[in-house]
Amino acid sequence: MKRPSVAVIDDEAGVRKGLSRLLRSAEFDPLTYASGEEFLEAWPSIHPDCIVMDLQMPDVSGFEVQANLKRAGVQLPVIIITAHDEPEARAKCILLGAAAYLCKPLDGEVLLDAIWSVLETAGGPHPRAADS
Amino acid sequence: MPTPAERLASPWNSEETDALENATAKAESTAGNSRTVATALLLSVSYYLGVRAGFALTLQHTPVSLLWPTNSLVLAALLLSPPRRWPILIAAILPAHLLAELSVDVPLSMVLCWFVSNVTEALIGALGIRWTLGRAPRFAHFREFVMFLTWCVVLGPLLSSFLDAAFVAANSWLYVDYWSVWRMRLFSNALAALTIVPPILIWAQCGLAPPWRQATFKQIAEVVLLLGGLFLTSCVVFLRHHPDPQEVMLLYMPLLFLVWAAMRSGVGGVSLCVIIVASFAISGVLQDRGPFSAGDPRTNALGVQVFLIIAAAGLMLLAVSLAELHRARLMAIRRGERLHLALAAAHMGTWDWDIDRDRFTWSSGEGSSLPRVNDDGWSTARLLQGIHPDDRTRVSHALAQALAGAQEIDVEFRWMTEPETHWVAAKGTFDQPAAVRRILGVHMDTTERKVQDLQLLSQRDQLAHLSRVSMLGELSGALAHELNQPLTAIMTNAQAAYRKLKSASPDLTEIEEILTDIISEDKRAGEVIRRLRALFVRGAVELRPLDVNECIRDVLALEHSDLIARNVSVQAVLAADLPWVNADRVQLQQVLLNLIVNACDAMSDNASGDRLLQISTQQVDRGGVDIEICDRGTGIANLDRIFEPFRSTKQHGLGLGLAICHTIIRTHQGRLWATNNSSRGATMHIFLPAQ
Repeated sequence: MKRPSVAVIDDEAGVRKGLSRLLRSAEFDPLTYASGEEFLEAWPSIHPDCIVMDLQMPDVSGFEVQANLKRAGVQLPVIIITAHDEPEARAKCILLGAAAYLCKPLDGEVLLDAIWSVLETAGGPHPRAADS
Repeated sequence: MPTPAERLASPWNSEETDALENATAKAESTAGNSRTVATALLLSVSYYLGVRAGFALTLQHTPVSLLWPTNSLVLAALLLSPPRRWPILIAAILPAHLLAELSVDVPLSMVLCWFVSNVTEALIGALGIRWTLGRAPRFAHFREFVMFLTWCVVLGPLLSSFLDAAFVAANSWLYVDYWSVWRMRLFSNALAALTIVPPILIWAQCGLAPPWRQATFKQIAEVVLLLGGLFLTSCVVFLRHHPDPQEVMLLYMPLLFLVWAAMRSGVGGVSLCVIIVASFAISGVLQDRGPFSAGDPRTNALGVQVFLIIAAAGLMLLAVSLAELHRARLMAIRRGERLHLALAAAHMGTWDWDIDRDRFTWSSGEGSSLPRVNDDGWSTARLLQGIHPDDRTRVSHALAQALAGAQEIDVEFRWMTEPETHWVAAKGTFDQPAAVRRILGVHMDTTERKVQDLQLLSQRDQLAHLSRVSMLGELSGALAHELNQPLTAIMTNAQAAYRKLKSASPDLTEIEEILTDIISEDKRAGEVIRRLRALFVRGAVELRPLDVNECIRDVLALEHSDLIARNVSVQAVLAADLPWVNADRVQLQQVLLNLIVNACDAMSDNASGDRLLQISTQQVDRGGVDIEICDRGTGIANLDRIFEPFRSTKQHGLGLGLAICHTIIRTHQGRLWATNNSSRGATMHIFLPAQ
């Protein structure tokens, strides 16, 4: 069975590496990008099933990536991971179509549950079946 | 005529002012004219009497008197009057001269000639004094008396005697020979000028109030003794019949009293005493008595005149010199009193270091922290024992430098007095010129000022600390971000490793890599906490060699997440091989942080892509480091006031940040200033001297 791919967009290399390892251990196929700009450039040729994205990044922020995807009519679940727990930012992300808003420091299992949940909602296979 | 009240109520007008000035001038002119008339009358009368006295003092069958007072009277009158009144005075004495001279059957031509020569003598003296001194001499200074001697005692009689002798020869009036007449007239008028003019000038300028009203009993007794002794000795010496030639030593007896008068009474007193002695001496010559009666009359006259001139001139010079010395001593005492008063008011004292004897002495008045010292003084070693151990080297160094380069001493040290220590500031300079090598100076207790300085320093440190702590709120977001990143990495890595360990065949190599990354992220978090802790610790300022570039990199790392959150991009151009500076790392980071945050605030209204923060460092020629922090904001409105405290453009700002930054940089011997960029925005400049 094809492993679901998850795009990880975060400017912190250590976070990308940790998330990448976690996702791979949970039978996901991680695609990592160091900036929103890098993701948007790669977008036409990639087909992730889910996006895990930091909000505050240099040049192109998470908000801008979300706005771009919404303008393009992309219906892809986006999970925001951020160090700033601000109600305004949370509301804005939800308005832009974010499926979940998680605060750092991140509990990896909570993230995995969130990914599995949004994939199920989107009609994809529930990789938890491989866990249990 | 307006009443006084009406005058006060109404404003002055120019007509009233002119009228008042005219009335005042008229009144002064009238008073002056009255004085001139009175002086002319007095001079005329005294001239007549002087001529009569002069005739009485004339030796028989000679045309010259032993002492001719009239020319001296005219000279004194001219010296005491302004030159514009001289013609009136000279005209006033003509009738008296004619009356006195013609009454003793002197030919009219001789009378007129004598008038000319007499006036000439007075004019030479008066004009010479006017030219050199500008006013009548007061005999208070040595130079004044020398000018008086030159013009009035020597040149006036000398030059006019040539004229007088020529007149006598031309008129053949009791003519002997030219040079005899010249000589007799010269000494006669010189003696008169020396004895008569000084008392007249002194009494005219000092007033004629009887001095005994303010005199003590001792002073009156001294004057009585002096005058009594003078009278007695003069009588004994000058009026003895047929004195023994060996008794010429008796001449010293009146000299004793004359010296006494010179030392105690000044020029005025000496003049009076000389007049007394001269009266006796001349009387003796005229009566063929005393020590000047041995030879022919002319020789006797010359002898007494020379004796009196030399005695009078010498003693008056002594009196003037003593008066000058006394005045200088009084001025020195008064200056010393004023200095003492000023030092006492300023809680200061003086000190003196006799270098060759190695002895320190000082004055320690009320409130002084230095102990009393006797005339023997303290040696350098003993002095250093009283100084705080930490300051001894500095003080020794200052003393050695002063000795080596003849420089000024300027040093501050602590003097240990139980139970507390006092701060003393000492300044001194070489006493030049002096026969003894010494340094003189002043010292001041600066304990109060030092305590205030320390309090100010403490308050400033407290303020700086509070300012740093207040920045905590601005950095909270950045702090959270900086710590959350490594924590997230640690958590996700750990959970990944846990999952892999639970799998059927865990890849131990990968797990080892994961654990390595966890350790690295943990250290990173620890570094963030260490940096923050260092920034907010409250401690004493420690100046240490510091790499400015490294400091900037640390601050940028601290601000990294905040810069990203604000969408501010940073361009750092840090010069390589930058010299190190002596600075307190925490304080310098505080300044840099403050300036960077301010720059970001300045660009908060700019579009996202238009927020560029440029930081650069470079070495400068004058030996230091320049740091520039440039933004693209709207610039600074009042550049010259931005470092004033409690001035803030931020809504909730205290307005202390830049003021504290300015103080910190100044403490580092550097400079902080701002300029507006020519294009847009502003640049903050920091200069720090190289280590």
